[in-house]
Amino acid sequence: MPQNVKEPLFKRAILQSPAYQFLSNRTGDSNDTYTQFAKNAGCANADMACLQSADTEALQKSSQDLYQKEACKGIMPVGPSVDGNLVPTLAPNRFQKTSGEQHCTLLFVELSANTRQ
Amino acid sequence: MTLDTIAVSHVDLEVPYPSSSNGSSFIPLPIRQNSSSEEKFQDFLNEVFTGSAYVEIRKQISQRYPLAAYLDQVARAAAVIRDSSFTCNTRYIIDTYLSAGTKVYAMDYALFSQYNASTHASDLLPDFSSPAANSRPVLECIAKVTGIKLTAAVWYVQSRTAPRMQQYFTDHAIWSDPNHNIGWSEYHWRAAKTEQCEQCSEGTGVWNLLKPEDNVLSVWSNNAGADSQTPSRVCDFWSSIAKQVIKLYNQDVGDVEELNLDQLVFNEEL
Repeated sequence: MPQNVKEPLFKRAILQSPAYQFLSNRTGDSNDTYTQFAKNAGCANADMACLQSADTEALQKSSQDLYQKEACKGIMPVGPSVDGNLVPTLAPNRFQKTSGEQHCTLLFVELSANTRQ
Repeated sequence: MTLDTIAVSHVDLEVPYPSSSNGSSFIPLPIRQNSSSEEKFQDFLNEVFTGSAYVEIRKQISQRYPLAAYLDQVARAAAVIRDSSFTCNTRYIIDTYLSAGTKVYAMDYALFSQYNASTHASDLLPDFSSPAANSRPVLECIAKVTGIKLTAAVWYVQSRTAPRMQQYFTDHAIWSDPNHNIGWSEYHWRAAKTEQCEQCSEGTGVWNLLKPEDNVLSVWSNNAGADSQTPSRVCDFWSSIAKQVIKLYNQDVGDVEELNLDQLVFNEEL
């Protein structure tokens, strides 16, 4: 667990259809997906500064392209992936931690209506 | 564990079958196009659990979800995806918070399930519905109904479902009690518990599940029975898979250095 985790600012939570796939980025596929997304959005070097200043429409189009291509193969092309540090384990393992170190770790995943088409 | 209470829900049809216009993109396209192809199903497993290290895991899943138990490979994949990526997540969260003594409110959102319309994200409509918003186009898209059926569905969501659902959720957020402003004679959302159930074999299921649905009595009339989609015999299997996956992952990558977000190195081959 990262050391800078703080107590949550809220006391209640509502989770509707929490969806996570088994993403562990063992083969580098997740990084390939990210770089493909960045490239399609006009950021050839896949750097964050470029993406942060990218045109919103370009980002939307890149997202759509990604879903139409990658969603053909798996469940969803993007999502939280285990990297051994920031995301230390798969969601089912994390959800079942019952020791005192359990913190309220909520990941918000946006899934727009369009991505379901 | 610092939450007072938590509400956890899944919809009744997270992954629709048959692959239809009601949203089937969670099932990989090659499987939908080749509904009898074992090869396409295995390709899918290999896409999620990639490489020779995971061969045993792919085998376990294939055996646990035998084709003979399903209409075709589409239905088989739908079951795998529903259990692994959607419904069992709710079970793990519910179990964890219950074991810590936190009150949990569980829901199976089944509104318009007769139209195969209780799909992923369809529950957001009553969450955010207001008299000023027009629900008609969204409902037409989700439920694929027209005419008087559509008019009835719009009325049902706006007049019967949304006000109460928003009441439950806001009361839960404010008071930690979804029934705080619910009259004594009205339907109460009971706190969840896990116990044995008929469909659970030797294991347990989640009980007191609020199940909003379109029936003659009321939207809010059914929380009888255990959740048929999250028995422990199903979710324990995926819990075991998750543990095996992370064990193999850790063997493969070894110790990962402290991640520094300012120094992330991206793929420079592009």
